[in-house]
Amino acid sequence: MEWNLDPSRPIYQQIIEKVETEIASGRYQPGQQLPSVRELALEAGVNPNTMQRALSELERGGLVTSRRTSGRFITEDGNMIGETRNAIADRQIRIFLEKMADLGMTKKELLKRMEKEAVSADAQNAAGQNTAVKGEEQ
Amino acid sequence: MSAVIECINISKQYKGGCQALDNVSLNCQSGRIVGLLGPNGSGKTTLIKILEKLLVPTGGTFAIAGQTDPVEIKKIVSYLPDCNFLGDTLTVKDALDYFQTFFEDFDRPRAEEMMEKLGITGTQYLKTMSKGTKDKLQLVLVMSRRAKLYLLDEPIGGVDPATRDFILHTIVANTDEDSSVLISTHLISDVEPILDEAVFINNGRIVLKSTVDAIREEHGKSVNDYFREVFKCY
Amino acid sequence: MLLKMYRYDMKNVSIPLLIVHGILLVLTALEMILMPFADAGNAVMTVSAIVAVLMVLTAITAVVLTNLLLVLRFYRRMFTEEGYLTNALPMTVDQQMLSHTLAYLTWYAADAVIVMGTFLALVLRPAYGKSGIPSEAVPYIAFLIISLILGIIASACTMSGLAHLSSSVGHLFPENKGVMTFIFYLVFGFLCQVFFAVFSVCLLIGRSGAALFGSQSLHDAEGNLINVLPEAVPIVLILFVGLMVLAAVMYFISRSIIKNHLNLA
Repeated sequence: MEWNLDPSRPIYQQIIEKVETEIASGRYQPGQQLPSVRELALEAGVNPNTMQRALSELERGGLVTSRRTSGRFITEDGNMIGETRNAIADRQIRIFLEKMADLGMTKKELLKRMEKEAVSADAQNAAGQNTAVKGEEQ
Repeated sequence: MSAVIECINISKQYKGGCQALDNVSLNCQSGRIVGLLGPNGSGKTTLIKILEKLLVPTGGTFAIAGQTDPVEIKKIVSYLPDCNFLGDTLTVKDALDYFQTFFEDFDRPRAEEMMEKLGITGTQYLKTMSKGTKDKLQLVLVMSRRAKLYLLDEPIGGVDPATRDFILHTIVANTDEDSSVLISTHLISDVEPILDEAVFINNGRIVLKSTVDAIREEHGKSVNDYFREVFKCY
Repeated sequence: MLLKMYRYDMKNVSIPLLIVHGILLVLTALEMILMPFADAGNAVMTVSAIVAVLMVLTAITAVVLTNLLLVLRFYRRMFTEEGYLTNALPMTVDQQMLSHTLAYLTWYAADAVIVMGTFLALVLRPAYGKSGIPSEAVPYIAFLIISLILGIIASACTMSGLAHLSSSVGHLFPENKGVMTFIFYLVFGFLCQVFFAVFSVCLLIGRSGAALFGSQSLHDAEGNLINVLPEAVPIVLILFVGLMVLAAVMYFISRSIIKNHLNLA
């Protein structure tokens, strides 16, 4: 996992966002055990105290639970995970909408362009899968 | 959590009149990685040498984990100077033996494990090693001691990026809640991801002491960028 | 700690010194074999002479090298880049200095015994046939041996004090540590010799030693050896004490510099 941390923002916040994304996308499975603070800190290249702070915040929010002897685990609460996913998506959407407003795009223009892009993206994915299939056949 | 470093009004004036340190007071809790950040000649190395009892201050007092006796301090402080402190005629094994002989807290298995990862063998002569490898070796020796305080003077200066990553990784991997690390450097952007706190020093005086996250939150920029703002020369 | 550093000091200088002294012993053995046959012919005499010259050269090298290596050892481990590690060791300054003094004493004594021994062995060779040591010579020989031991101890301590003092004063000049150490070694060395000379002369005059070295012979009217020991023993003891005091003064000044004014550039 690439951590890509930006030094101009508090690192612990970025770690929280990163872990939330991993949970929301399903790459961290519900109930999965997390590596130790030290291991995570080493992986991310950050201070263990910083990692500790991020994990404590996540615990407070409920996405991560800690069992004293066994360590930290991802929550099994499907609803919370779903809500987190929506919150992350909403955050990104807000940023996107601000940028589009900056361009002067109206809502109608925006929705039309989004349709077009989504269709074109699907087509590209399908073509990519076809060539992959063709490649296997050959 | 106890104080590992307690300095009160440390001053150092050299005979020529040069005031290397001017009433520096510093407090460092255990379990922290602190960056001593400042331009060249700001007094960083002087302060570290004083803490290691290699230099006697002209004023002020300090204690390391409550200790003031030089021998007791040296037992719990592991110092990495900014130079080549191993004699050239030694082999790697000689260096390991030396550390094991004189430092009770030296963890030889840990050192050997790290050396294996670096591809350094025991029979190698230090003479034949590149500067980068020697720097890594010195760091491994210093970080393999289970000390209460690690004083690292410019640990990543003059090494390639991969070596730099290894050094930072080693620092994080070998510290825990009972020990602290004081890193003196001017290469701030490389070191800031692993710092808890930053101390800015200039002209022998402490200009700022803060957690790195507080700097980022308050000023909306990295410690490196904030440093550039504070120490702007033009 | 002291003994640990002593071991390292010894390890550092021992190989070259063992080699040089080993060569000296080998040459001595060779000469001892050759000497009785010197009359046998020109060839043997020439070889014997060459070996004798080599012996002298090796002996001089041994003495110089012993002192040189030990002085360099202290300078290097305390005041060069190695000093960053040495001075970071959990040892007191006394332990740092005394371990070196001990190493100096060890090799100084070994060197003195070997160099003097090899030459005495050759010089006294003709005397081997005799029936043994005459009983009246025993106290004198005992006195000589004890004086020798005291002399070695006192000069080793003075020489190591000289090494400590010149390097600790020399390092206070960070730009020219090495050169200044060398200069101070010569200067303080010279001062020590002046001190020793003046001290001995005053001592001998004071103890009416003039009588000992006057026109009287060592034999009295009946041809018996006059017992000079009662005069000689106190002189030797006072010389010993004087040198040890000199060594102590140098020790304490060096110690004070290292403890309070260490300045590793």
